[in-house]
Amino acid sequence: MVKIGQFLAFPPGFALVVPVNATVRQKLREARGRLVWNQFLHASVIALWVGLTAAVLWRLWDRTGWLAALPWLVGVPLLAAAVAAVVRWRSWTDVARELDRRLGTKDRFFTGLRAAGPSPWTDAIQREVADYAARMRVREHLQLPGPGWRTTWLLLPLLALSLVEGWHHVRLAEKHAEIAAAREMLQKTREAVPPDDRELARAAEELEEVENRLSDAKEPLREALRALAELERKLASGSAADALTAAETAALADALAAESPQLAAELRSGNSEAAGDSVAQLDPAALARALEEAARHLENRRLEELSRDPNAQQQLGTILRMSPDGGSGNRKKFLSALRDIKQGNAGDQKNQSGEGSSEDALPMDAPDGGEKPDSGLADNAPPGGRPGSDRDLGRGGDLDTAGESDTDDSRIQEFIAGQMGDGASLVEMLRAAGGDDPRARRAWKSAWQAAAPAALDAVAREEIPPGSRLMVKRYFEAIRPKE
Amino acid sequence: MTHMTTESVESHAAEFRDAFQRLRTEMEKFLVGQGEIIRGVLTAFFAEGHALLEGAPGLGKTALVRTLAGAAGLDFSRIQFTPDLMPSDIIGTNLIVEDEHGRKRFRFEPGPVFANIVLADEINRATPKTQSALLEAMQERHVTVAGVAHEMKRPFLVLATQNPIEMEGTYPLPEAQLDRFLLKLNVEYPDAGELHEILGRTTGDHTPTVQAVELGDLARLRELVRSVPVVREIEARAVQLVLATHPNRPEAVPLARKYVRYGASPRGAQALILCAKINALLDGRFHVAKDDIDAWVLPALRHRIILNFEGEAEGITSEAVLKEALALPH
Repeated sequence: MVKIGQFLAFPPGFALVVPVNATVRQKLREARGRLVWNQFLHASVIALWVGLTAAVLWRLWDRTGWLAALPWLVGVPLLAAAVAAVVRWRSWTDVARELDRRLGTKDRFFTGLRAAGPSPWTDAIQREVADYAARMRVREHLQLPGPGWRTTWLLLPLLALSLVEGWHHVRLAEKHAEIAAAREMLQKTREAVPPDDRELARAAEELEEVENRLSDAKEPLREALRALAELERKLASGSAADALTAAETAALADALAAESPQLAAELRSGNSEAAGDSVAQLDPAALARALEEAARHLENRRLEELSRDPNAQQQLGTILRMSPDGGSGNRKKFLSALRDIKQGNAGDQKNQSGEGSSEDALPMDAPDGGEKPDSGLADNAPPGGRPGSDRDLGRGGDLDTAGESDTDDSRIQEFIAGQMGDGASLVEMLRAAGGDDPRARRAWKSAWQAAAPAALDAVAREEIPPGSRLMVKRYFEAIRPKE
Repeated sequence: MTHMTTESVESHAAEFRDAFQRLRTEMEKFLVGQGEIIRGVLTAFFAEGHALLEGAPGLGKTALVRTLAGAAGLDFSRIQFTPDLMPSDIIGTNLIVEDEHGRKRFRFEPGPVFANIVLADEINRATPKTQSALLEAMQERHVTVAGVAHEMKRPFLVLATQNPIEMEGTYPLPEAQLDRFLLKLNVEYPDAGELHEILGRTTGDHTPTVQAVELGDLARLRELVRSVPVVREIEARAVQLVLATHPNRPEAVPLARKYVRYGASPRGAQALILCAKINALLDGRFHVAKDDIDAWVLPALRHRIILNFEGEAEGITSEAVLKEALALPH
C-alpha cells in the first residue's frame, strides 16, 4: 500500500505537502522549481523592460534623479516577477497539469493528485504513477526554454538610454563654454546679493536652481539672462507696487510731526532708509494714530488698513526700505551690480553675433536675435529671431539690428495705444503683398494664412448671398500667395 | 467487482490486456491492414456495445466479423439485409408444433439474431420496420415475440455493415438506431502493400486459419472495464466535446452552430468514456486520460451528429465538426 502524505494547504490553493507518495512528490517539486524558474525568466524580461522604460522616461524628465532610482526601477519589477512566478505555480494541481501537458504523461500526475480515497483502484493508480515517475527524469524531459528572442526587447530601452545619455554628453561638450559663462554670470549675481536681505537670499536660491538646470537648457546663456531679467523685474515691480506715494508720504509726515518730528523730517526729505529705521523705534500706538489721521486726511484705504494692522510698524518699515529711493543701500547696489553683470554679458553676446567675432567672445550658439543690452522688462519677453530668419517675430528691437533691410520696404512695425491691455500693442503693417521680395512674400503668406480661414469662416456664417459668397472666396483664392 | 485488492486490480488489468492482445493478434493473422478497425471492433466487444462498419464492398467487413467470432470462440450468425427481409426473419417466430400426444402448441423458433456475434450485412437495404426489429435486441438484450421476452445470448454483439455507395433503394438508418451503435468505423481501402499481402494470403494454396482464444471470464473482464475510475476533471473533456456539437449550447464550436441540427446524445459521452477506459487499460494505466477520450471522438460521435440542410448542401461532414471540437483547449 502506498503511503499517502498529509495534504496541507495554506494559504488556500498553496499546497505544501503533496498527497502522493515520496517519488511523485519529489518529481512534482522538481518540476515546480523548474517551472517557477522558467516563469521568472520570462516575467523578468518583461519586468526589466518595464523598469528600463521607466528609467528612460525618468531620464527624459529628470537628468539626475533617474540614476539613483535605477536600482528600484529594476529591482521592484524583478521582485514582482519572482513573486508572480511563485504565485503562478503555487498549486500542485497546476504543476501536475503542466507536467502532464509538457511531458505527455497522459494525465498521470494530475490523476495521481486527484484520485483520492482508500480504494484498490486509487492504490493501483498511485503505484502506477509512482513507477512511471521513478523512471522519468524531469530535468531531461522538462527542458525549460529561456526567454530567447524576447530579451532583444531589452535592447530598446537600453538603446534609448544610451542615446539620451550620449546626446546629453555631446550637447554638454558643445555648450561647455556657454554653460560656464552662464554659470559664472549667475554666480556673480549670487555673490552680489547683500547678506542680510532675506528676500534677495531667496532669489539667490532660485538663481542657484537655474544654475543647476543650465546643462539641460537648450540655450544656457539665454536661460541665465532670462532668470536675471526676471529677478530684476520682480525687484522693480515689487518696489513700485508697495512704495508709498508722495501724497501718502506727505500726509504721514504731517500726522507724525507732533509725535516724532525727526521721522517727519526724514519722510519729507525723502530719506526713506532712515525713516524705515525710525519707524521701528516709534511707539506703535502713536504710529497707529498717525496712520489713522493720515488715512482720514487722504481718505486712503491702504493707510487705514495699515493703521489697524498690529504689525503696522514692521510693515511700514519694510515699505519705506523698499521704496525706489529707499533702496539706496544694499538693494540699489545689488540692482546696479545686476545690470552691470547683464550689460557685460550682453556685450559679449553682441560681439559674438555681430561683426566683430573676437576670440574672447562666448562660444555659444549664434543666437537668432541678440539680447538687448539693458532691456529691463523686455528681457523677459520670448526671444525673437534674426530678422529675415524663420523665427523672426518682427519685434521692435530687431529694427535696430545692423545690416538688415527687409523691414524697410515690406513692413513697418510700430506701437499703438491698445484698448485691451495697459500698454501699447505691437502692430505689424504689411506694405507689400507677395511680390518678388522673398521676405515680403513670407510675411504676406503668414498674414494670408491667418486671415483667410477666419474670413472664409465668416463667409460661411454670415448671411451673404450665394453669388457674393463665391466672389469672396474667389477673392481670397486670388490673393493666395505663391507657393 | 467486489472484494478487490490492489493486486487483483493489477492482475485483472493485465489479464484484460492479454486477452485483448491475443484476440487482436489472432484476427490480424487473417485480416490485413485493418488495425484500427480491429481495435475498434474489439473495443466495442469488450465495452458491450455494437459497431457499425461502413465501407465499400470487398474490404473484408464480413471477414472481420467472422474472424472475431472464430477468435473469440463464440456463436456467429449472419443476416443479409434485403428489402424483403421481415422482422420475423431476424428475431424468429412462433411455430405451431404437434407433440407426441397430438396436441398443438406454439414453439418459439429463434431467429439468427440469437447468436453471440451477429453480422447485419448491408443493414441499410432492409426496410425501417425490419431495421427496428434489431433495436430491442441491441438495446434491451432481449426480444419479445407474442408477449414473451426471449433473452439474448451473452455476450451479444451486433456488427452491422453498410455500403456508402449504391444508395439507390436503400433505407438510411434512423437516428434512433444509429445512436444505438457504440462506434461507427469507416473501413478504408487498403494501400498497395496491404493489397499485395491480401493477395498473397487469399490466392495461395495456404489459407490462414483462426484459432479460438481462451478469454477466461469475459463478464469479469467487461466489469473490470467499467470499474476503471475517471477523475471528474478528465470526464469534463468528454462532456466538453459532446456539448461542443450542440448548436444551441454556449460551448458549441462555430461549425456546429452553423451546420448541425442535433448534436451527439448522452450515449455519445458514455461511449467516449467506455472506450477511453479500455484505452487506458490497454496502455497499462488504471485511470483515464484526456488523450484516451480524444482518441475515440470520431468513431464514437461521428454517427450521432445530424447536420442541417445548410450543412448537407455545403458538404460539411460530422467529422469536420468533431475535429473542430477536438481543437478546443483541454
